[in-house]
Amino acid sequence: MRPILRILAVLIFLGSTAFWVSTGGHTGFSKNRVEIPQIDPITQIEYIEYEERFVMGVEYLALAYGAATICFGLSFAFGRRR
Amino acid sequence: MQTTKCLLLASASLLAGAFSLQAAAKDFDFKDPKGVNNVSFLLDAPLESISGNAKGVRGVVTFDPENPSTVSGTIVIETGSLTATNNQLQEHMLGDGWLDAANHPEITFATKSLSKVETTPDGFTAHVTGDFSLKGVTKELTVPVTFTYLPDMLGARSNGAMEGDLLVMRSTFTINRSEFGIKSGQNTDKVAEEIELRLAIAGAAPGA
Repeated sequence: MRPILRILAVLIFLGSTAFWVSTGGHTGFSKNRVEIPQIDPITQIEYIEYEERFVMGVEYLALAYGAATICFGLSFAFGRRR
Repeated sequence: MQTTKCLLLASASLLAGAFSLQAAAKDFDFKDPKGVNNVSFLLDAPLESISGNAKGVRGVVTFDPENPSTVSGTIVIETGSLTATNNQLQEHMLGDGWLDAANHPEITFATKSLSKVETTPDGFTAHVTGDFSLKGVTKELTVPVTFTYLPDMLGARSNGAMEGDLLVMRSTFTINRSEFGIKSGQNTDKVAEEIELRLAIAGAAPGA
């Protein structure tokens, strides 16, 4: 059980970090849509178009790191196999 | 008799002058089928920065290129068109606890007077005083506005479908949510008291 929990902790840590980086490494809260700035060529007005896409925020990263820490901590509750 | 004749002539010329001024003024419609007109908002609190955008803009502004200081009109933003980058945040923002979009579907600004009017190469800048209404509360605000007049540019913008003039208005100003009864003094760590609003809109006067 001990190695399983530790492997799970490492997988959660690496997996969440990789997913966070792959969605842009956004340092704010999660987004359901991404702002794409545009400029109207005639009036020069700047406006935003939205692309519906999930961007993982730091709250999910913190949750994942918390889960990884709990798994790693729990692993100490199980003794080494003799 | 001579005095009466002079008075009549003077009145007639004044009337004619007023009519010609009225005739030169154009109504610019700010309902934008291209979806470019927008008002962006930013709330920068210690724990969270909230930003978004509203595209439900409409209204009519009367503008006379020969006499810009007489500009007047009303701009309306549909509360329900406010968009944030997070669905849950948007739901809360439009809900009855915050903006209550269902019962207060419009945010409006109606001009009352202009001051500090300064001419620029393609328009003018001015401080516009008007009534700003948000969530059922109306306050008088004075905001800096840049007006850009683009004569005969509607054709280029509508791919030749219409001819006419364009009027672009830009303004950045700050309001305090507590002044409009939006959870005064609450959640200030995550939702800033000050809301920065950036307006960039273009109105069209077809056939002008």
